[in-house]
Amino acid sequence: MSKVKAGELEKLGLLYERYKKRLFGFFYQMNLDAELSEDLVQNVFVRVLKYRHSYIDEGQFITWLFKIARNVNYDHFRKSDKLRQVELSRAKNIQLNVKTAEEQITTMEYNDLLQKAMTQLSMDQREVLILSKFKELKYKEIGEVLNCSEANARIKAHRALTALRTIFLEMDK
Amino acid sequence: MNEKEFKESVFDYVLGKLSKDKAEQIEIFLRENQDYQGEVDQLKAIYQVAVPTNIPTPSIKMDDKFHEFLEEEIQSNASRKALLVDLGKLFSLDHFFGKFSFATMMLLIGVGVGYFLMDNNSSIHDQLVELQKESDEVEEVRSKLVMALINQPSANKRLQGINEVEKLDQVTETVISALFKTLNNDQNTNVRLAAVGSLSKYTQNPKVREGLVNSLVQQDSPMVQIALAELMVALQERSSVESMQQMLQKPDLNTLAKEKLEQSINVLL
Repeated sequence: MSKVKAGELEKLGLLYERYKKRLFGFFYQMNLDAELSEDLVQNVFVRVLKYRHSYIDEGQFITWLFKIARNVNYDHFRKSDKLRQVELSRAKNIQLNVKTAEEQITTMEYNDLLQKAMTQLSMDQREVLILSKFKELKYKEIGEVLNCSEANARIKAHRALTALRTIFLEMDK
Repeated sequence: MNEKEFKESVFDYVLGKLSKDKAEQIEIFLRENQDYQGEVDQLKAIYQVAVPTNIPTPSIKMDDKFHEFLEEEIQSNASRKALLVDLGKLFSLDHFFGKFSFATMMLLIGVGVGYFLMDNNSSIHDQLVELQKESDEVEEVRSKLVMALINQPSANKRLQGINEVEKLDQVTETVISALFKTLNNDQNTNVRLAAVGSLSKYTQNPKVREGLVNSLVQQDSPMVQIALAELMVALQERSSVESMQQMLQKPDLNTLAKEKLEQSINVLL
């Protein structure tokens, strides 16, 4: 990234290759929309280039990148109506899936139910659970992405996991 | 590990945030305390399924879009830098162009002052003629700047020269010839591609069309070959078919360029 900041813009291609899948995974798990996620990955790299001068060569690049990704996602769903519509359509799709899954094997039903439970979490809770999945992000880095302390990031992750389990068990009754 | 420590760390274990040693301690504790095993397995399964690692792969379209964007940024960044450097040099009196542009500026200021000091009784017609003269002078200066830049050793400057052509209201034969010289002889592929782009704006001129057709066989770069083949199709220039067929005979022709040429011939015939 330091080289990109210094003007070697072609080096951004290397960063893209290194992080595109992780970013796509983050957006896809947040929104369950592959096409939208591809657009949002592109937006992240547009911002990386635009704000390259604000990059400080301290800590990990990945935390700076995910901070941008988080903002890109928020900006996309900034209008609450838009967010509500997406949530509704997603819940609707999942309900449909559950309905068809009733005729299928139990595992499918279980997966759909868990996916639905994920949509019941707040955006912040989903975010912290998805970020926790990345091995290179410890609580310290997750805290940097979420603008909170390491201890706070840990508490948020624990609470989100507890909430997910509670919602799922409630639905599974 | 005791029960209290286990309860404090079990969520971190499920979330995969424990060190290898600590995770092993949790596993030992679980083996010794089977009552907790079911609960932990359930929590692990919930997290694994709710946030799966096997997600769809992004399409090639995403890569294409990114590389297109990056290429554009690199080009515009290079042009911006070159423009700043040239402007800096342009106004430095140590430089030939500095002297030249300074003299031109003085001339234009002189003309401007002359215009304002002109006899108030001069007719509108005279004023228009004067304005036209000024405009012609600016065009002439710009043409000279294009010619000067296009012959520079730096590829960035040559690219800038080609970009300057777009600012000209009318291109002279000399500028067209210089563009063809660049297209057929420049060592830099990007510069040659820019020349194709620039010349494509003057294809209403039969000489330009003829020049582009003749240039086809002289190109070695697949990118330039493809750009020219696409242009021939866009212009519906049937006379280019012979040149393209001639190119297809080249043993070292790039596969992509070969495909493009074959497609273009099929479209044109």
